[in-house]
Amino acid sequence: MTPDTAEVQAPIDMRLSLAKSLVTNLENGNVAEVDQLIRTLLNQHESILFQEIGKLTRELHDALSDIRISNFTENRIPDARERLNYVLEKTEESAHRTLNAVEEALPIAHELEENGSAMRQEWARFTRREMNAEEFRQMSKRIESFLESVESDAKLLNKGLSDVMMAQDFQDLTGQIIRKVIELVTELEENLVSVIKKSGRVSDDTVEEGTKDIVAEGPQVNKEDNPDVMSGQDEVDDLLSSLGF
Amino acid sequence: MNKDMKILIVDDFSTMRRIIKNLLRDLGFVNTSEADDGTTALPMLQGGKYDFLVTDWNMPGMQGIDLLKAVRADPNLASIPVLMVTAESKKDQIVEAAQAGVNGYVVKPFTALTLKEKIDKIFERIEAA
Repeated sequence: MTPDTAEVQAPIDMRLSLAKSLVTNLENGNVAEVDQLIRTLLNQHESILFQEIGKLTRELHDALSDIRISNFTENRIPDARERLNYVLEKTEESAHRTLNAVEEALPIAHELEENGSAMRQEWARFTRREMNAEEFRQMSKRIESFLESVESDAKLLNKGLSDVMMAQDFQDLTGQIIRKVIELVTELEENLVSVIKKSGRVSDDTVEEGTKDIVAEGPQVNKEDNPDVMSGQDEVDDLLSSLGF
Repeated sequence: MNKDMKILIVDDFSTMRRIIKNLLRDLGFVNTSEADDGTTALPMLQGGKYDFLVTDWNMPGMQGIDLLKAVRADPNLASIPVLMVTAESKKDQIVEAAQAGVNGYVVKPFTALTLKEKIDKIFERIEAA
């Protein structure tokens, strides 16, 4: 506690004289007088303490009304929660859209590869003149249907790739939301810091680092700035192997 | 509609600019440039003889609505058709954009077809006028 010196000096002088008279009375064995003096000293100490607590309470109250804490708790934080839920839904939806398109496209690409390769081998037999007339007729039919399927498959692949592209619109939409939430968090942080500064006089020796609980935090968004965060799978693997896994 | 026309795409998110650029390319428009907000876009428009402006609304720096107003206020740019592609979907906002002289308004998230329809409509109107 560091109240203004002027406020403190008077009670200190007073207490000093009380203490001196307490010693004198103790030496002289005036029991009644000693009891009276001790009570006076205690009362004085309590009244200073109460005054100080009162003042801090007032200041904290003012500081809290300054940041319009009710606005934060009633509107802005629930709003931020909603926004983050939207981000969650939107990113999930986009991931599914992308995965659906990929799952539809992959077998098509695979089949194209297989048919193309079979067709090439047949064509090679033909150019080596290893094919009779009947086999050639059958190959011609297969080539015709293959070319038709290439056309329709390419259309499907095109559509799938376009779907994948459009699914990326989530980045813009969620990015706008996240920016808003970052603004809110920054503002709240600044306000809370100012409250802590105002009430800091009592907190000097009460601020202590609590034991850290390991809790789930979701994806790390600021890997570069945090040496405690793994940059990728390789670093995770290295860490695990150093731990004997 | 002239497929060689010069188009400026303005959005603060590069992912969205890429999406719009790709969609425009699918529609046959290959002459596109990009800017990340109104402050960057305006000098590009003033110096570049653009035929069409596609802009977002919510951007840091100069917002899309202010870019639209600045374009309409500049005698050299006033006649450029402007399409807004934005997540701003409140009635007041759309009214505001319309009053400021927007030619089309696409709300995000949108589909390739929506974008095509709005662009077609804008140029049908212009060619009919």
